[in-house]
Amino acid sequence: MRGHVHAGSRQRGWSGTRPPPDLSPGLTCRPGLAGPETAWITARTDQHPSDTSWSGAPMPPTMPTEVSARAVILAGDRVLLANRRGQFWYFLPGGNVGPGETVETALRRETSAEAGFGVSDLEFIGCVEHTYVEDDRRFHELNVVFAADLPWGAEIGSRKDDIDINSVALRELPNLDLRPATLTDMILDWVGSRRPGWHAAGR
Amino acid sequence: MSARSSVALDVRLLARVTDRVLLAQPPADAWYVLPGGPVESGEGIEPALDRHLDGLGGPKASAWRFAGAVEHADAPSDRAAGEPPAGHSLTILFAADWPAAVPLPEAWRGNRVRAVDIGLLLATRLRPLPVAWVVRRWLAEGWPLWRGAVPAGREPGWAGLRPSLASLRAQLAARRDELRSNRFRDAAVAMCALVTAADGRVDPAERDGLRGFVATDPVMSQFPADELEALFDSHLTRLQDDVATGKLAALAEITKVRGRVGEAAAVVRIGEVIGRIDGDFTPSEQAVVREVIGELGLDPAEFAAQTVAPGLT
Repeated sequence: MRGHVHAGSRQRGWSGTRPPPDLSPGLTCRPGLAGPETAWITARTDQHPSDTSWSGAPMPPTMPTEVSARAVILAGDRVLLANRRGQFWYFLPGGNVGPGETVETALRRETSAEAGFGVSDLEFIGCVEHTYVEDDRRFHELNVVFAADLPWGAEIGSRKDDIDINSVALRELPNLDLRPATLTDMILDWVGSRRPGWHAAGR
Repeated sequence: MSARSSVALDVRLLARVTDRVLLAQPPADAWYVLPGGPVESGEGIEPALDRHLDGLGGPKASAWRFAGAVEHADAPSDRAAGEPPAGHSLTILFAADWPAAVPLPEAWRGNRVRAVDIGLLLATRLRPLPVAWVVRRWLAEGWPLWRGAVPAGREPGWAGLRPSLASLRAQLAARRDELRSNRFRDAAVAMCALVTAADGRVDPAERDGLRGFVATDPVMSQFPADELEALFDSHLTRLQDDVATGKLAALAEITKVRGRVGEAAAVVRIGEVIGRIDGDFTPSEQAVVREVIGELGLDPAEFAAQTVAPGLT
């Protein structure tokens, strides 16, 4: 499952057919792209509005929970966003926290694999919780989001064949389809106040 | 596929009752915990807290404020006897004030409930320890924090991320209304002077830099600039005439905020801001800040992330 390709979730740790070294026993890794079968359930999408809010009742017990680490890599007033080639929505570099690794280790591993450079002097931006549907299955994801400056001299570009890394002006964020959608508010709030925040879809 | 992430989620409430914090003590356990508990697979984090707090009463979900996220590996001291290991966990922490109209419960889910004085928290056995660390920082600074698990190979005392200067100043600015007393002013100016003179000399440019800082800093600009400059110059003169005497005088002002958690933490932060504002937080400046942390009775480990050299975090 961890090899699936999905916006804002498990898509960026690896893209080939070889499982990552920390793949959980019993899990399979398959390449693929987020296609029409992927429905993103957040406050901004309306495909399954009944799923966007937490009603207080536990979700179905089969819905897996994932923890991901994300990076807001800043270069002046611009931010790096990733997108799957051929898709017109964006996600933050980063990915799932694997077994036995810390959140920050996962962040550094993923950004290095995707963008070719490590991030340091991280700042905590906050957490984003949301759910999404992929292959008719719903997932619950908690993103732990950090900011980091683009390392001096680092080239902006993807190290993966199936994603692009883009430099986007912060002021353009509201006009882009960044997923989960609540990330836009979180990033802009943080840039203005520096106060880490909590964002859950549907609240 | 696994039914849940390799990281177990947990959510807790830090309920403040004026100058106390609500803690729960499991039966036959010497340690306290914050009310809350595990998030089930697929369960929303806030609904999970709501579920755990059923029967406690107190702050409603709309009053919860995000206080931080704490990653921790399971340690024997982090669980009660007989409790299964939690493994790699991530605790989401919310904070709220206890409503004045609601009486404090005596028990919650079989746990004894007790409101512990904030000043006694450092000596209170609150687990998990990384959560206790963030709780104390929240109570002192009211700023949401991330505390990551210590990666393999990190030195003891490693305490997480190192906030940027802009974030440090934003944290201070957010609490400016609480930092208006003359006691804080005197302590903050003494801190500035100690850091400025930390390397044993004072350049005219450093005096000018201080003037620029107090004029633009959201906290320090609450006080008349001429008062701040007079106090600062007075400390610097003493420090230049006789370092030992000058240092004692400065520390005497600083220790007046000892026991006032919010003011004491802010004085340390002001010292760090002054040290880092020129882009070079020198070892002698860091040493002065560490000394003040000790004089104020604060836990050095809680400020470790702010006093390590850049690049180590």
